[in-house]
Amino acid sequence: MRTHFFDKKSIDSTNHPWVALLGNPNCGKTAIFNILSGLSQKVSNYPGITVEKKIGTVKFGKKSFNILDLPGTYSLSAESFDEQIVSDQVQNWAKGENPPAAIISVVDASNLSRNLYLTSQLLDLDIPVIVALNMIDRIDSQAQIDQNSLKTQLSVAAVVLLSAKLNQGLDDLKEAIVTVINSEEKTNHQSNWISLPVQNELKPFIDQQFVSSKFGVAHALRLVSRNINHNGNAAQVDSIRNSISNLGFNPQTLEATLRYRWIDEIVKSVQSRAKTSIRKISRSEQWDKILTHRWFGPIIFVTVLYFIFQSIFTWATIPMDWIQTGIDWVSAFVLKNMFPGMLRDVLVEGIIGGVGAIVIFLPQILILSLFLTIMEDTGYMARVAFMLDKSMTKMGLHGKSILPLMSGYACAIPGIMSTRTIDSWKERLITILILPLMSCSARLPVYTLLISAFIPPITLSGYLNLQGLTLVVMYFLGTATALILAKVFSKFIKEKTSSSFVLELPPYHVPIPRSVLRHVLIRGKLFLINAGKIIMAISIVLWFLASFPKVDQSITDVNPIHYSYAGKIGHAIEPVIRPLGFDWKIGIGLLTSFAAREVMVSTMATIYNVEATGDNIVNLREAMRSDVDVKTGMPVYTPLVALALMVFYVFAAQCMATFAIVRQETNSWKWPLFMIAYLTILAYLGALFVYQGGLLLGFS
Amino acid sequence: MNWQTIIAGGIGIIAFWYIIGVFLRQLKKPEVDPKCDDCPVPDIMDNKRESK
Repeated sequence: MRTHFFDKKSIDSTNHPWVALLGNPNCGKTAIFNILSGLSQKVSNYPGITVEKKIGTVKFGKKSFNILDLPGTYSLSAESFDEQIVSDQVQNWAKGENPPAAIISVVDASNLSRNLYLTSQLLDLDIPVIVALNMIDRIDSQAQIDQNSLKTQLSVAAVVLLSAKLNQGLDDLKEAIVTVINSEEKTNHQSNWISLPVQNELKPFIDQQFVSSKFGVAHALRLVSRNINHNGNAAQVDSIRNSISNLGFNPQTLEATLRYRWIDEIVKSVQSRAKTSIRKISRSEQWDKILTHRWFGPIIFVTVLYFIFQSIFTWATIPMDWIQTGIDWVSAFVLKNMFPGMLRDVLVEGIIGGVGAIVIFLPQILILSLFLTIMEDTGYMARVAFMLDKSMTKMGLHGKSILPLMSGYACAIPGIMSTRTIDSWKERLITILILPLMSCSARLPVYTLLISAFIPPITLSGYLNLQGLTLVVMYFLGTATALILAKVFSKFIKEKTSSSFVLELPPYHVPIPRSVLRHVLIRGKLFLINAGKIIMAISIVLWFLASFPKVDQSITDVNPIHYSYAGKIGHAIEPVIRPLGFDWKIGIGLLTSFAAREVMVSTMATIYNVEATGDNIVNLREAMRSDVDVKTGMPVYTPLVALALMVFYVFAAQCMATFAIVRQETNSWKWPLFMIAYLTILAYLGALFVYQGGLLLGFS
Repeated sequence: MNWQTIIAGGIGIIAFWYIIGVFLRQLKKPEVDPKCDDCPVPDIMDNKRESK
């Protein structure tokens, strides 16, 4: 049984005990969560992937328990929304509100000291803690950790060595969890990191709501350290800060000073060679000298992007031909084996024609997804964020903005959700507002259809493929506009918050093929099934709209589709979009693609299939190329119209799910409506500029 | 009216209601992180409202 909503009701309703996974960002919590629960939450090699709580169920022998995955945090002093989730949750447990049976503190074994800081804060709760030393495969043989000594010194329930990457030690962890759940021993951790004189000074600030007095003291210290007025008593805070200063401590760094003093003693005794191994320049640092170099870094990044977009065209050609052959075969099979009638027409012209026109783009979606996953899993994406931090700040953004923006190349929705890692509301809002301008994979079918139909496959300067170059230009146009608008928005959105950028650069990893394959398959499944369902439904409804009312063809030479409901709607829109070079068919596509951008392609395919007089399914590219205006005798679609349409889709607001998620994340309709307005105006003006400008320059 | 017309009409009605349903669902409860299998809708805004 799977439970996905974390609340008291859902936890209780399963009658299973439950445990919580906590740890620093990028220490492998979600990888452990996925292996234990069998779920497929996104994991990657950079911090801040998990931005919300997720729960799954684990079975071990006859015992079952629920497991809660929380966003990563370095400490309980929250700096961003995702860290606030953890901090709030832990405070509730400290007040005795539905605490877990055990906390699994996931620790990156290659960075023991820093990771144990959060563990030491969790020990104050007096809830059983199991330390899961993950990434044990990264530890060299001379820096082994004495797990028994660590268990004794931290006085935790268990210390388990594991490697989520190699799927090692997970059974030991499950066994430790079940043992703790079954045990009735009372927990009293010996986290004596705070001296008695300091405790005495903090007494007036200790919240009596906390079940554990140790947590109460630590919480009071965090309030005082951050100069947060407790019950509005500022004078008392100042007085305590002065007293702490008189004891020889800096009140701002007191908690860190005391905890690290305690942790360093422990680490020194359990890992004798730790300091020696830290001094060595790692292989990742050697790679970073080149990949994050001031000049070489950006050149390498641009080259990588160019390679990706070129590959999308060149590698996908053969599988696309296979899919096209398959679709033609299915269509021919239905035509041969069904009697003529409305159902056969719906199947061939609506479903097979509409959905088939989209399915052939699956290889390109998978190739894009493959490259993005590899960039994330190797740790390269984190370096890109580091390299671009300075430029991002100049544009009114944040270094952390780059990771959501890069996610936007796959889909804007996870990108918008991952802006929660940005602690400044202004920078977060600006990132959300510009994110739909990053060309997502849903635009890829539109771009590639138009490029393959109207941009000649010629090579410039011996190695630049014009089709690939056009695709790069579309991605670049969206990204550049996003950055310019970020600067504009930062001038108008007034909020006096700023934030610092601290990003832990994870070591480079060779991506695990199983993990990469799973990401790519999930993306393919989402494209085929999630998007496929709405594409199929729209294709069916559109077939009816394009086929009715029926017209007696003996009284007119004009194709009956022009008299259909779809034709009438399209012709009503046409005057508005005619200045952009678009005809009524594109007008229908612009309307239907508000459900999802790729619906544009299936819409065009359905319209052409209904319009065609023959039995065979039409080739959309050929149909668009050969479409001629009956009045002028000129081609309806030209390279200039194709460029204008691509530019329209670079900026267009066509994605309902994006705006729904923006409403949720901003908690208002104001920002999604603003986004729809500005993106639509931008798309219209962009396409108008390209089409009219092209005509003035003599292009057709 | 032959059987093909009746089935096609039924498919058309189902497709129409499916589209309406998708739009209404989006307005009430937006699509969640499409990169994960079956993620929960985040509750951060509710928490924020409560804390205010």
